[in-house]
Amino acid sequence: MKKIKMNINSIGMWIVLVTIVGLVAFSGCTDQEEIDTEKTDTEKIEIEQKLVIAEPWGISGVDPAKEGGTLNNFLVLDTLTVMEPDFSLVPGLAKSWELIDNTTWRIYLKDNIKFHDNTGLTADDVTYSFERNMEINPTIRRDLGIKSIEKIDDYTIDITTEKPDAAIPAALSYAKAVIYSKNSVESNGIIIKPIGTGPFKFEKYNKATDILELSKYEDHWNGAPKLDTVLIQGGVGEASTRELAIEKGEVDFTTEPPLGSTEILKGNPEFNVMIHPLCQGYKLNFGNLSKAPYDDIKVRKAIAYAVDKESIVEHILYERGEISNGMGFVPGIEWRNNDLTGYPYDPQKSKQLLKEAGWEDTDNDGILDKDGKAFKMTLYTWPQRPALPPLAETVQSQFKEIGIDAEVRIMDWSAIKEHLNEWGAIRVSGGSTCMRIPDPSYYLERHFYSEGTSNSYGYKNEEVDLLLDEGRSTFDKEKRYDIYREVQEIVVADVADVYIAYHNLAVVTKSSVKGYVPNPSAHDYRINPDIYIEK
Amino acid sequence: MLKSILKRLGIFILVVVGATALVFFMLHYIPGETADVMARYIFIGNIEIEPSSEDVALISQHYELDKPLIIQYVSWLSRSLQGDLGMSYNTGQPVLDEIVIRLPATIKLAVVSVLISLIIGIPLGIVAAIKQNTIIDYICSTGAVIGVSIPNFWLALILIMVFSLYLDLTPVMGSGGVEHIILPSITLGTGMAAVTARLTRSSMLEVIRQDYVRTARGKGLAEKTIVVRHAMKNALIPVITIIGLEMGHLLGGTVIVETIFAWPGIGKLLIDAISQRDLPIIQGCVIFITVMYVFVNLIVDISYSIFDPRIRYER
Repeated sequence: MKKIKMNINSIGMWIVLVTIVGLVAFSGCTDQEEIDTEKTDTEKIEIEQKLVIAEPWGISGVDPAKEGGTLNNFLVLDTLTVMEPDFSLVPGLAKSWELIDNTTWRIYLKDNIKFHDNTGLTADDVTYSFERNMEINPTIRRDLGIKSIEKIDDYTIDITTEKPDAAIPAALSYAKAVIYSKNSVESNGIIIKPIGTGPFKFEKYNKATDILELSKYEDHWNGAPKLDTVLIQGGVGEASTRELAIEKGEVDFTTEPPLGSTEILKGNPEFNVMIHPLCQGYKLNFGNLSKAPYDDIKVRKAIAYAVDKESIVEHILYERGEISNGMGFVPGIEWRNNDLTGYPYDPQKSKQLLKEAGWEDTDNDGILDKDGKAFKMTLYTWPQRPALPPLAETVQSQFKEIGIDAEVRIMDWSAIKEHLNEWGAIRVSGGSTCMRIPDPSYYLERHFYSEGTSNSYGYKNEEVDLLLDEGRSTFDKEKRYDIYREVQEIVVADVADVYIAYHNLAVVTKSSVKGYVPNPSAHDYRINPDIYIEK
Repeated sequence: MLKSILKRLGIFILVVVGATALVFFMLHYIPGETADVMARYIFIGNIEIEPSSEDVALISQHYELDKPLIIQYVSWLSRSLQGDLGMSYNTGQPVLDEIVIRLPATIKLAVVSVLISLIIGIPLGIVAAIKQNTIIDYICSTGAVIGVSIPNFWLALILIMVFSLYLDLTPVMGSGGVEHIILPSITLGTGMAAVTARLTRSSMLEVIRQDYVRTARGKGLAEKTIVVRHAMKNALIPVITIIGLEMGHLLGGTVIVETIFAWPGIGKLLIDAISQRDLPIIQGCVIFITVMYVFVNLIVDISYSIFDPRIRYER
């Protein structure tokens, strides 16, 4: 009895001692800034017009030439043209544009635009931003297809291109073609406080906490936004954390909660769950189209028919997806070929096609073989996108039904490339934005032009190459529609890849957040000036 | 004492050179071409889009990745020996700034977690040893096994659910305030507490059986004095060793806990840098972690002499 008491005393001693040490350690910490919890909000009679966002990716930097479009998505920096939620192209900082000769586009700027430091926007800022962006990141020049950019007068610039290029007005809406004031640049050439023209001003970015703070810009040419402040907590990479943070009320707005939580959140009246298409999706990429077995179109078709897209959307994507028509463009894009139907699930047809291609199960082991070679292959995928591993496993079991023995290997995406030349390798991929600019050339050229930057599988069809060249240099929109629809038709008929489903983004907001307009053209989401907080 | 510190400094430089060289060369042998990965991050800003071969060539040239590895390493080493750790490939900011800015958060989390592990672990271990083979001992030991076995990510999410969501006591995530550190440090601390408790128990058991403890009992000293002044002091030496290792480990960052709580520490910086092949940052982190390990071990060694006067560093 006595001993126990003594032990408790010594435990007490420890606790006191350690608490003191702990307090000393803590006294060094000062509160820098923190995301206010709901308590402080409700104490105020007037509702604070403040939006707190939990962003999955780290913000990491604010130099517009280096960051991947964050400042554009949060409405700090504008582009000359803008892609609307319906993927159409509308004027941004430019009021209009015209083609003055085959390789020169003339852009007329709006003359009433002011930067956040109250200086007016002129052609000098535009040429400066473009030149700085293209110098720091040379791929911007190639992606935009710009040869040079020249000031004509204070509100007019000329953009010249190497070849006739119908995609230029669309390319100017690219998130990396943002315009900022020369005054943003520090004496050492870097930008730590970007000065833009958007509805929100950059206040500060705290790297230690990864919090970006924006405030309302009262003098915006199109009227001030409704929110006073926007706080973005970057680097909330864990989906469960984002879900818990919004359930607790710590944040007002977040995206991509765990796939399995969609229904639970939807059933709770405290939240708004919006699931809307993004121009992204899931697909199978053949490792090498010029080698067996995928050099045979019958085998490719058989693979396309073997995948049960419906069950994938229902059971793997939990409705956060939509079956594709075989092409990457989501419904609603004007350039989409809506006549395409893709390859609906049909294992019988698949088996038939494989048989025609010479693949038969001669030794009755359940695996197809041809000339003594069994159809054993590997599905490669990466873990960062949560739906990919289960999706690959589903495809594996669906392949088994038609007699293909697939192994699933999950590895870092950068390591997969080296394996794609293995016999029969297929990459199960996700992401791959189809509309970073509202022009079909971006996606189609990257993936299906014989020299396209994303065409690592070696798709080559001379007719497609010719059409893509023609589409890029044709200025008549009606003609372009026809050209690009034909390209889509050929590519799907060729089964260059097997597009399974589009990826839908889940945006979760508190129900007090009003006025958010889902924007499928964004990467991955974009706020809008009409968002406000209502009690 | 001075001599031993100087000797340590010499070893430390060797360790840094060795560790950075190892990491540097290993990075080039992990799958995925460095320039290819960098092009995705730096130029495209989307890892899932493949860079063109021009982009890859451009990156190689710009960051001198086309030179032989040994030359790349030597030029990095000579620059960093002059105090220039370089700039992050991704953000263009000096490496030192990137590390220093995450330092307070990392150190805070490490210190508080270790404190928690001590508060829980040492008393539990002592009680379990004194009450060996009683129900209290079994409870403590079972608790310790459970504590070691619970995965951090699971514990973290459960703690958030209980303390943030149901009880509304702590924030779910973020950093900066005192309240933000509670859950991450409990998550880390409890796992380590289990180890500390097990170790304290076994080391305590060994010590209680020593002759001098019997002598102390024979002298008629109070049990409290025997346990605290005679037994515990000696029993804690292995515990201090393990605390040192844990501290060093925590200062190197704790990726899972940092990710779940959106805690901006060194661990996440390093892991992100590795996946982005941001070499200057990786090397900077390696140096930092080595420094921390060496420093913590130095403190541990010095503290041995406080707990056990037989250990001295005179020669």
